[in-house]
Amino acid sequence: MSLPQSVSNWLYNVIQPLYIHKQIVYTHIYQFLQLHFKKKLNFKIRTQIHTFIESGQSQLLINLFGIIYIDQIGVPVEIWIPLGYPFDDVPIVYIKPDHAKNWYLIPTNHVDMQGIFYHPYLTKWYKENGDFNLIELINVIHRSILNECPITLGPPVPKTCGPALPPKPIKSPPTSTIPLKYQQPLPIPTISPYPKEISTSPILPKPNTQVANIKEHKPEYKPPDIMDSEIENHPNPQRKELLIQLSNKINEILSQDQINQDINFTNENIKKVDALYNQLNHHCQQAAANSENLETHINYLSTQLTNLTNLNQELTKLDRINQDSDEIHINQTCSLSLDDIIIPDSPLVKQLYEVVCEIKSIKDTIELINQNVNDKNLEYCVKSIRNLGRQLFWLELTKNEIAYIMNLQV
Amino acid sequence: MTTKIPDLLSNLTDVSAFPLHKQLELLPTNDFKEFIENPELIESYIHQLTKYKEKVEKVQSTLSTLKIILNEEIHQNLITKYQQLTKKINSQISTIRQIYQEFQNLETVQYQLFSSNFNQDFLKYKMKKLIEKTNIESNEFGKKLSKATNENEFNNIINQYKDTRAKYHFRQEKLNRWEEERVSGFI
Repeated sequence: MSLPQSVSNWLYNVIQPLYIHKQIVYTHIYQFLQLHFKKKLNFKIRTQIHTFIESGQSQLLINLFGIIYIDQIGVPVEIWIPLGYPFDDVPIVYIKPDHAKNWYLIPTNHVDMQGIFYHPYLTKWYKENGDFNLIELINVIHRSILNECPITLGPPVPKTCGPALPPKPIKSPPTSTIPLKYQQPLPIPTISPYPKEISTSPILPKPNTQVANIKEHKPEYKPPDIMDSEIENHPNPQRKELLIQLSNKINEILSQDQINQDINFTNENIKKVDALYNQLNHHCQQAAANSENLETHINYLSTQLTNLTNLNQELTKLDRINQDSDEIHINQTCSLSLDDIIIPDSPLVKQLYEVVCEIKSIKDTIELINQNVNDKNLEYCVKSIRNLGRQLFWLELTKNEIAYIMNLQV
Repeated sequence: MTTKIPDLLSNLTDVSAFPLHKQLELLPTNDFKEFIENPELIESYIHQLTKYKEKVEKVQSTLSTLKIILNEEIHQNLITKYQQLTKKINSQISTIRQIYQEFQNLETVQYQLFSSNFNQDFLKYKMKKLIEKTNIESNEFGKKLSKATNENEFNNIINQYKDTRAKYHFRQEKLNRWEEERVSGFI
C-alpha cells in the first residue's frame, strides 16, 4: 500500500532542504508511514520546532505522532527525527500524555518523568549490528508499553518513604538546578513565566490542587493535521493570534510587493522574447529556403539562356547559309529541298500535278521543235513530235481519268 | 540557440516566513505587536527572507538571460542572418531581372533569325528564284537544239528540255497553289 501522493511529496519537500542523509530518512519514514499512517497505530506526521534538552538549541524537525492504546488507555507517542538521522543522530521518543483525557504519565523502566523514552535499542542505535529503523523502533516501543504502561488514569500520587513534604509555597520559583527551558522540549517563550508542562517535572511534584488549573490552561490534545503549521500548534492563544495577524499582514504586503510586478514584467518579456525569437527564426528559415529556391531558378534560367544564345548563334550561321542556297538549312548538317516544303494535298493530286506538268512540258517541247525545224533535222523532228504526241495522248487520258475520279471539270 | 529561453517564473506566494527568526520569536509580546503594526518592518523582514532573496535573484538572472538572448541570439545572430539573407535575395532578384532582360533580347533576335531563315515570304522568294533558275536552265537547253548535229544529240536535248520544263511547270504549279494557300507540308 502506497502513501497518498500529497503526503509523499510533502515529505520529500521537507526532507530535501533539512536532512543530511535524505535518501535513508525518506525511505525509513516512507516505510513507517506505509504501515502506520492512519492505519495500524494511526500515526501522523508533521514538522515542529524541537528544543534539545542538552543544548537548548531549537531545530525544525519531522515529528511522527500517534496514540498506542493499551486497555482503553492511550499512550501518545512522539518520535522526533533529528537532522543527522540515522547515522549521526538517534531518534528521540517522547510519551506525551493528554491530561484532558485524564491520562497522566508515570515513570517506568523505559520512560522517565519527562516522558523521554529510553531503551537499549536506542543505545545500540547504529553502534552495533542490528536492524535499526523506525518500524523496528515502534515495535520496541510497543513491546515496552505493553510490558509497562507509562500512562495512568488520573494524576499519580508521588511515592515517598519519608515524611510528607511541606506544602508548596505559592508563586515560589522552581527550585530545580536545571534551567526550566532545558527540562523538556518547550514552546517558544511566551508571556507566561512558566512552561505549561512544568507539572510533569519530576523536580516539582504537582500538588493535586493544581490539576484543575492545569486542565484549564492546557489545550486539549487533538491530533493536528499532517500539514500543521507552527502557528496552529502554538500553545499561547494570544501569541497565536498575533502570529495569525502577522501571517495575514505578510500575505497582504507580499501580494502588493514590487516583486510581483517584476515577475509579471519578466514573464511578459519572456513571452515576447520567445515569440520574437520564434517569428524571426521562422522568417530566417523561410528566407533561407526562398534564397535556395531562387538559386535553383537562377541556375536553370542561366542554362536556358546559354542554350538560347547558342541557338541564336546557330540561327545566325544558318541565316548566312540560307541566303545563298536553293535549299532550306534547318541546322548545320540537315537541309530540306524547296520542292519538299510544298506537298500536294493527296497522292492523286500529286499525280495530277505531275501529269499536267508533263503535258505542259511536252507542249513546250513540241513548240520548241516547231521553232527549230529545218531541212536537216526534219526527219528527227517528225519522229520526236510523233513520240511526244503519243505520250501526250496517254497523259491526257490519265489526266481525264484523275479528273473524273476527283470529280473535277476538265 | 546556445542560450535557452528561460521558463516562466512562478508568483511569489510563499516566502517561508515561519518559523520566525529566533530574534523575533524572543520579542516580548508588546514589542512583537509593535513589529506587527509596522508594515515597513514586516516588509524589511520579508525582504531579507531567503526565499524572497532567491526570487529576486531569479528575476534578475532571468532578465539578464533575456538581455543576452536579445543581444546575442536575436540581434547579433538572427537579425544579422536575416539581413544577409535579404541582401542575398535582393541580389538574386536583380540577377533574375537581368536574365529576363537578356532573355527578351535573345527572344527578339531569335524571332528575327527565324523570320529571316524560315518566313514564308522569304521561302516564296527563294522558290521564285529557283523557278526562274529552272526556266533559264530549260531555255539554255532549247537554245542548244538548233546546233544539234545528229539525231542522238537532238533527242538528248529534247529530253533534257522536256525534263527541265516539267520541273519548271511543277514548281510553278506549287508556287501558284502556295499563293492560294492550297498546299500542305513544312510550312
